[in-house]
Order: sequence, then C-alpha cells, then structure tokens
Amino acid sequence: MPLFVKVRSFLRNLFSTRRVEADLDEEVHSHLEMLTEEHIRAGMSPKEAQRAARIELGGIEQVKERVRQKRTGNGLHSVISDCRYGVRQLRKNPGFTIVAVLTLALGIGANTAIFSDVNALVLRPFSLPDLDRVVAIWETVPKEDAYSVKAAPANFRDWIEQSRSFEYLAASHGWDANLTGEGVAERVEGYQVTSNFFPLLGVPMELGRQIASVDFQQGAAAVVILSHGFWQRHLGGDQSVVGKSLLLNGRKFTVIGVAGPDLDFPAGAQVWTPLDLRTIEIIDRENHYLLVLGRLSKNASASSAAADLQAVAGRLAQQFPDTNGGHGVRVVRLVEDATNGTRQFVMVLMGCAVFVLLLACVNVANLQLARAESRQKEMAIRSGMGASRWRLIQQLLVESTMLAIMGAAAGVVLASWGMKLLQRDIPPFILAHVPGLKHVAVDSQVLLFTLAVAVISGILAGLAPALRFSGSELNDALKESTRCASPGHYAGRLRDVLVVFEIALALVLLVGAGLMVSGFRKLIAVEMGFDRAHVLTFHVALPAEKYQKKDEILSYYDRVLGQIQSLPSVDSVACVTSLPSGWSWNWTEYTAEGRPPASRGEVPSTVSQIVTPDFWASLRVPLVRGRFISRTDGPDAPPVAVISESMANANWPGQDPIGKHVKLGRPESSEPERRVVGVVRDIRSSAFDPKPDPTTYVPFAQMPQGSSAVVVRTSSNPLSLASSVTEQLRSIDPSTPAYDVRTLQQVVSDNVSGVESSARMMLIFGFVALALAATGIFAVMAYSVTQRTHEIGIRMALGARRFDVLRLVMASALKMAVVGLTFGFGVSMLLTHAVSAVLYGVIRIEPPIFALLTALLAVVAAVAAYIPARWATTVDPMQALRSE
Amino acid sequence: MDSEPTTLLQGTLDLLILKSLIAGEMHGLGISRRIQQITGGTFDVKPGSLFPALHRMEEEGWISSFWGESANNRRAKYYRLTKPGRMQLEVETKRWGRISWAIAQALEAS
Repeated sequence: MPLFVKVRSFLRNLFSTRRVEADLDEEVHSHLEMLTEEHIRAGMSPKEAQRAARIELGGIEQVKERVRQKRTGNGLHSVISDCRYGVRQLRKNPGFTIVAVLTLALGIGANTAIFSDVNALVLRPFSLPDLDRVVAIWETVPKEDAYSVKAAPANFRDWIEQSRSFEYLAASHGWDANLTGEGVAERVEGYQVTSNFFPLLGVPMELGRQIASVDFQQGAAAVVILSHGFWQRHLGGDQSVVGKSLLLNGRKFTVIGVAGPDLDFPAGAQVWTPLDLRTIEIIDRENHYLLVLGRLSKNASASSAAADLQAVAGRLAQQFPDTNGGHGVRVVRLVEDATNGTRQFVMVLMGCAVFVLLLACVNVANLQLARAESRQKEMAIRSGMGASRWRLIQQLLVESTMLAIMGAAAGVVLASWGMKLLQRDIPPFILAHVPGLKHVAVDSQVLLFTLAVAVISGILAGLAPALRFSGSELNDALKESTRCASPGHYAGRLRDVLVVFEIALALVLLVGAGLMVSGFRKLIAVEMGFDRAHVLTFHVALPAEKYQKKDEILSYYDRVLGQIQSLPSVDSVACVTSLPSGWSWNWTEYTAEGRPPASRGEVPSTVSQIVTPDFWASLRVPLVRGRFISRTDGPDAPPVAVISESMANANWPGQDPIGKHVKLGRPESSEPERRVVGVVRDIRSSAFDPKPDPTTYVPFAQMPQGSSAVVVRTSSNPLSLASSVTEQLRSIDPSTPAYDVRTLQQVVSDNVSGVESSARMMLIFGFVALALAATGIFAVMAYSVTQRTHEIGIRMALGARRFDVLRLVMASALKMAVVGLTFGFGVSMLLTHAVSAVLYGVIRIEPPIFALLTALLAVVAAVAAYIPARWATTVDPMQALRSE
Repeated sequence: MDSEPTTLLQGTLDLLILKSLIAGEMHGLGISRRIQQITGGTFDVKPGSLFPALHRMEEEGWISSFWGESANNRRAKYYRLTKPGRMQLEVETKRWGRISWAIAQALEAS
C-alpha cells in the first residue's frame, strides 16, 4: 500500500504538475492568511499582522521550493523543467548556441566516424557467433622472432587427434579458380575447407547444406558452396541454385549450398569446396599451407588451449626431429589475428578523435564560462528564490548536455557524410580483403556510443562553468555592480588554464597529423628500386587439370608474351612470380656455395622470383654485374640464377658472386644447383620493409609456373591497354582470364592505402585542432578585453600609450601560449614515442616537424590574440570611464 | 538552505506531527500550534520545515489531506492520520523511547 501511494504521487507530481502546484500555492497562502488573522486577533493592526505573518512564514517561494525538493520524482521533474528552461536560454542566445553546437559536432562527429571503424574493423571484423571463442592456430618455427607459419597437414591431423581443448578444429587453404561456362570467364576467390569449417564458424546456410561426410566418399561428386555475395552478383540470387552446377577450372562442381550473408571468412571468399585431407599427403609435415581455426570448448581458454597444443607439438618434435624439431604452436584469438595491421592505425586514430573531442569540450567550456559571467545575476536570483546549489549545477549541466546532444545529432550527419567521402576512395581490392571494412557504418551500436559520448562531453564542457557558478559568492553578484575593475580573479584563472590546456591539446594533434602525413610521404617516396610509371600488371592462373605438362605452360606464356609484345605502344612484357608491393612474396630456403651449412633453426631464406628475360627491362632495374637472364637459358640449358645485391652481400661479401652456386629449397630437395650469372640492383618487396629482401631470380623457362603475374611497360597510359590485353588472353584460351588488372602505380599505392587514409584523417583532425585552438584563444582574449575595457580606459587616462596596452594584452596571451606549447611539446614527445612503437616504420620523432608545428601554432595564437589586442588599443578612455 | 534537519530531528518532527494528529484532523497552522502546545512551547515548527515534512509524509502514505473549512470559514488544507500513519507513530514512539532512555543513561553515567 505505501508503495502504491508513492507511485501514485510520483505520477501525479509528474503529470498534473499544474494542479499540484496550484494546490501548494493555495495551501501556503491560506496558511499565511490564517497566521495574519491570528495576529489580528492578538491585537495587531492588519498591516503589522501581515508583516509579522510574512516574517514567520519565511518567504512563500522558498517554502514552496523546499516542498518541491521533497516530492517524489523531484529529480526527473526538475530535469524536465531544466530542459524547458534550457531551451529558452539557448534560443535567447542563438549565436552562442550555434557556435557551441558546431564545435561539439566536430568533436563528437570525429568520434562517431572513428568509432564506426573501431566497431567494424577491430571489435567485430567477422559477424560470427561467440567470436571470442574462435582462435587461429599457427606453427612457430625456431627462427629469430618465433616466426609463425601455417600448419602442415600431418601436424594438423595430430592436433585434432591429440588435443582436448577444442569443440572444432578446421583447416582451409586458398583455392582460387577460373570460372567458365556462361558469359566471360573470370577468376573467383575460393578456399578448400575441412568438414568442420562451417560448424566451427556457426553461421547457418542461406540455402542448401554444409559440407558433409558424403562429400568425402570415394567417387563423390565435386561440390561447392557459394558465398552470399557471389550468389547475388553472379546468379541473381537464384532460389533454385542448389543442385545446379558451375564450371571451375574446367571441372563440373555441383552447388550444395549458399552461405548466409554474415559468413565472410576468409575475407573475400567467394566459393568453398571440400578439402579432403585423406587424398593429400597426410604424412606431409614439410609443406606449411593450412590456415587452422579452432573453436574453444566450454572449459578451455586461449592460453589453456595453447598449452595443450604446445604439449602435442613437443611430442611431435621428439617423434619427427627432422621436420618438427623446435616447432611450437601459437594460438591467437581470431579477432586479434585478423585485425593485426589495421587495428594499430584505427586505435591511434581513435585516440586522436578523443583529443579532438577534449579540445571541443574545452572550447565550449570556455564559451559557457564567459556566458556564465553574464548570467551571474540570473543565478543569484534563482538562488535567492530558494534554488539549492546542486539545483543550479544541475541546471547548467542540463543546458550543456542539451548542447552536446544537438552537437551529436549534427556530428552524426557530419560523420556519415565524411565517411561516405572517404569510403569512395578505398580501392576495391582492399575493401574486399580487410575484414569488416565492408561493414563500416553508423549502426545502432555506433549511435549508442555517440549518445554516451555526447552526455559525457556535455558534462565535461559544463562542469567548469557549473562549479564556478554555483560558488558561494552568488549573493555578492547581486550586490556587485558591473563597475568592477577586472573580472573575478578565479574565473579569469580558470579560463587561462583552459586555454593553456587547449593549446597543448592542439599541438599534440598537430604534431600527430604532421608526423603521420610525413610518414606517409616518406613511404610513397621510398626508393623502391623500380620504375612504377607506365606499367600495367595482371595475373593469370592456368588450371593444373588442363595444363599438366611444362611444355604446355611454356607455350601458353610464350603466346601471351608474344601477342602482348606485338600490341602498339608496348615496350616490353614479362612474367614474374610476385609483384613488388603486391600482397605476397614467395620465400624459400636455400643453400649457397661456400657458406657453411646453417645450424638447425637458422635457415637462410630468399625471395624467389621466376621471371622471363624482359623483367628488368620492364621495371627498369639496372644490372650490376654479369648478365640478365636471356632467351638461351631454356629448359635444357644449364640451370642459372640472377641474384640481387643484398643476396650477393649476404652470402659472398667482398667476393665476386658470378660463377658461385646457389640451390633453392631444402638441402635434401631435388632442385638443381644454379650458377649465378648476374647481379641486379635491389628492389623492395614493400615500402614498409626497412631494407630490401635478398632475392634470387630463376628463368621462367627452367621452372615454369602455371600461375604468374605479368608486367607490361608501355609508352602510353597503361590502363588504356587493359582491354586489349584481356582480349588477347581470351583469344589464346577463353577459360583463363586475366585478373587483378591494375597499374603498377596502383599496386604500390594500394599497399600503403591504409596509411594514406589514416594520414588523411589525421590531417583533418589537425586542421580542426588548429581552428578550434585559434577560435578558443580569440574568444577568450576578446572576452577578457571587453571585461577589461574599464581598466584599460583608466590606464590610458593615466597616460598609457596604445603600444603599452597592446603589450599588456599580448603579454597575457603569449604567456598562456608559451605554457601551453611547452606542455603540449612534452606530451607530444611522450605520445610519439609510444605510437612509434606501435606504428613501426611509419611514425618516428622528427624534430623539424615538431619545431615547425610548434611555431605554426605560436603564430596562430599570436594572431588570434592580436585582433582583440588591437581592439583594446582603440578604447576611448573617456567613453570607457563613462560607460557603466 | 543549510538548515537541513538531522535524521534525529527529522524523526522527531515526524513523531510530533503524527502525535498531534492523533487528536483529529488539522490544518498546517493547527498542527504547528498543537506541537507548540504539547511541547510546552519548546518546539516552534516554522512553515519552511512543516510543509516539506507534511508533503513527504503524505507521499509516504502516513497522512492524507483534503480541503475543508477552517473555524473562520476559510478554505484550508486538512491532514489526518492514516492506518499506516498510526503504525508509524507506534514505531517512532518506540524508537524515541529507546533513544531517550539511551541518552538519559548516557547522561547519568558518571
């Protein structure tokens, strides 16, 4: 019953406010009148009686306010009335409101935009159930930094049999295929997966079924599962697709299912086919090509599973010392594994966004502080009418939060617009292969985050003015006339501190932006060692089923190179295994003549590139010694190799490498010893590499590969060649399309596109920071000049010259700037140091940039202070003294 | 604003209001005068404390209010004790008994 009474009064207080208030008013008035009557009866005159009664009552409004504070639901009710009051206040000052809302929109919008990246790329790169329990499992090889490699099939099989920490273990490996049949042939990105792969991921099929044991039976039909996107784009979302067949690499595959739209693993996968571990060498412990995933069982953690597998690996190492000696296991949460490389950039950007927000909050706090000064009377009156100190603080915080929520609304619009702009520039290849990048959007979680950020920043921006205002000297405000020499000491000091903080924050952001941009410029300016202009690149992959003999492969590529060479404007054309700055490089072990056999665990390795003779001409890589590979290095000619300078220095420092021998692959492999016939200038595999990788080039004719990249040097725009090149390939074999057609310039810039978009974002943050700092300093100085008009007037009347006044105002501004810059400089140093460890090779401490940006900010601060200082000099002493 | 009653005082005020209403329904001024009377003039409850307490107690469900006519035909808000109010009075009385006994003991101890 008491609860019922409480709820009823809560609802009544909230919804029939008017009646409750009228009731209270009448009650207090009737009380007053009864008191008066009492006094009259006691013999006072009516006037005296009224006065005595009022004194006894102690102020009608105060009594009412105290009753209100005791009411159930007072908190909510007062917030609602604060909102109403706040709206009126904000409408009364549209200039202030617009500036504050826009400032907060910048700060909050930056956070919304970057958090949507964090949300999609770092927190949920894959939409899989219980993503936290999915781990990636790598083998570690005894090398310098516990180098991780993919798993060998036999090891994977033993992990399944001997471990007890997993609900499922599954393996996959790349299996791209040429899709032929209807329409133009094209390359599809596929993966072979073991039967546990789909149950492990836990995403239900859109249509049909998962891979089952029947698919592994002797004589089972070849089957394929399609990704949702592939099904939509290529088959128009055909509902009856299950049971139909596709021609992949010339072979018929029956569609057994379509995956749900959430299943995007590995990122970019278009089709999945069964990986039968019985048919591939199940005793194979040498070739490491399986990407292994595990779903942890209920009672296992990533670390307990790692210990479990480590024990298995230890047993295997003893059992098979030749292949497994020293091998370990690394278990990483899939999220961490898949986001490595993007995560660091996104988190650094998130940090910067928080700084931008702080800067915006400081600016708005300053604006509110200035406005608060002019509202002192209003506050004093409210306090006099019985509002408690907390009530005044609440009022100011509510107003500030309202500003922030309006700012958040504008910020969301700003963020979605900006994100669209940035997303347009993401290269399609990157979009498909960075997990989660496709899903970057302002969704409900991002909106929730934005709301939380808005409330926090509203409180942050309102706290200083609120605390300052509800101070004890409120009653003085009523007495204090505007005729005071200078603003309250305390308020002025608080504003100075905020400006100092602002300058420091701005410097940190500017330096961050400067270093990121410079890091990016250095990356694209890295001397790659080849000429990337005017080169078209593409890939071809011959299905092994169709091209089994080496002769067939060789004659296919001979025709390809010959026909492209005969196109107008083509200077040269060549095959190469992996494009420099491409996505993968083919590393292989080797043994070199005259170099002592490597101790166990210390295997020298080289990038192996299988090239046709015109490769160096096409990329304009100069010869250092000896000769290039020539057409005479045919299949039956003596085996030869060309090596890079760093390869020569690594093995034969100070000697002539020409005539030495090198053998690729493991020492026991059947590869021939190759005689070194030439040394070429180093080229870099990637701009991120601190130094060029040692490289060995082998004649294509002596080691033909079904799958290769092709580079075409042209005298015209390389992209204009694209269509005639694909045409030529189609004419040679319509079932083997050219794919991943890009200019070499594009290949190189795609490689650094993550850094590029980060740098772009940082640059935006830097500009915002500069603008916020400038307006902040300007606003504070302008305000303090108007506050000090009277003082300046007195000074001038006493004989101060304009220059003295200018100096006076500028000195106080510059003092703040110097403190802020010093502080910001220190913080930037510390942060750069921390970030350079995370973004290794991109960001490092660059003194010239620090100096330049500190100077820039100092100049901006000086200009922002100079304008109000000039105003101060125009003060007419007589006017200033007479006013007020 | 700084004269928030302590818990002890607040409890005391509640007790006095409940006790005075035992005699029957009363308006605010009546309650205030009644308290003055029964405490021999020791407690003079000002409206600034009385009204917040009355409204709070009404929301607790201990007392209920209605509009009526005063002795001089003036419209006034009357308060009366409810059943939970009577129970509360018992509780408060016992509590006060314990407190005053304890204080008395403390003061007598030498």
